[in-house]
Amino acid sequence: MRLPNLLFRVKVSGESCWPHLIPGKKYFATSVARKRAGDFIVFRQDSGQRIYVKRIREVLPAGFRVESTLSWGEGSAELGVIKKRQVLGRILNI
Amino acid sequence: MFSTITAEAHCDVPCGIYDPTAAKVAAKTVLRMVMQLKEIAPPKDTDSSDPAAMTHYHNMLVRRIWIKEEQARLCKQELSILWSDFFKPEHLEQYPEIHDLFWKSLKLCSKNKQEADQEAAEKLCELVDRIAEIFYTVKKAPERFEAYKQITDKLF
Repeated sequence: MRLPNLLFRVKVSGESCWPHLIPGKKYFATSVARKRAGDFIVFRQDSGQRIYVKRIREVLPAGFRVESTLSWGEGSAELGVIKKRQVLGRILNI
Repeated sequence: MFSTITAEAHCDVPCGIYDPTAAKVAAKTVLRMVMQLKEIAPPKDTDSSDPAAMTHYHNMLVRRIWIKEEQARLCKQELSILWSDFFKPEHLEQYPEIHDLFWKSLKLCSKNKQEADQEAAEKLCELVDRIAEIFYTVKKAPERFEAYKQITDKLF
């Protein structure tokens, strides 16, 4: 499935970003907005088709260190640093 | 003419398969659920009027409460089996604390069902560890206690 670049909708599945992102709820995201620490970004798995949404913990030259908002959720410790080319966009309407 | 003595060849089924690891896994699961229950916040104001968000919130809580309840029950069951089936009078002579230790542990299982109290869950893990230490000592396998600790302390 090809995602539109400028503005697209994201349906959240899973509770790792609770209570900021509600499972089942649809959010708008854009690829053009600047991404900063605290923003929620949508990105594609480095190898594979899975698409994730996580919060930016730290902006690095090479990309983004990400985290879940619940302590038991995955983050960069499991997923690695998210490269800019993996990022599809930033969630807008939180 | 000949006196008769009774020689016990009793063996439970399954024979000799007792271990405190299952109780510790259950106790640690209780602790994990309590910690998660403390962390799960209600939906933000902007989502609090959304029935789906509220349903999800309640579901998140209830699932953890249910798991906590079930694992505390399982911990109580595993401990009860060790207490009633594994430990023998000679063990009690060696470790007079055994009855009190089990009684307090079983009471703590109930407390952990009634409440979501991290201190009570941590105390349960601590008492199960002491039971395990005695268990492996009387089994004459102290190295298994070290293995038990290494595995169960790193479950999360």
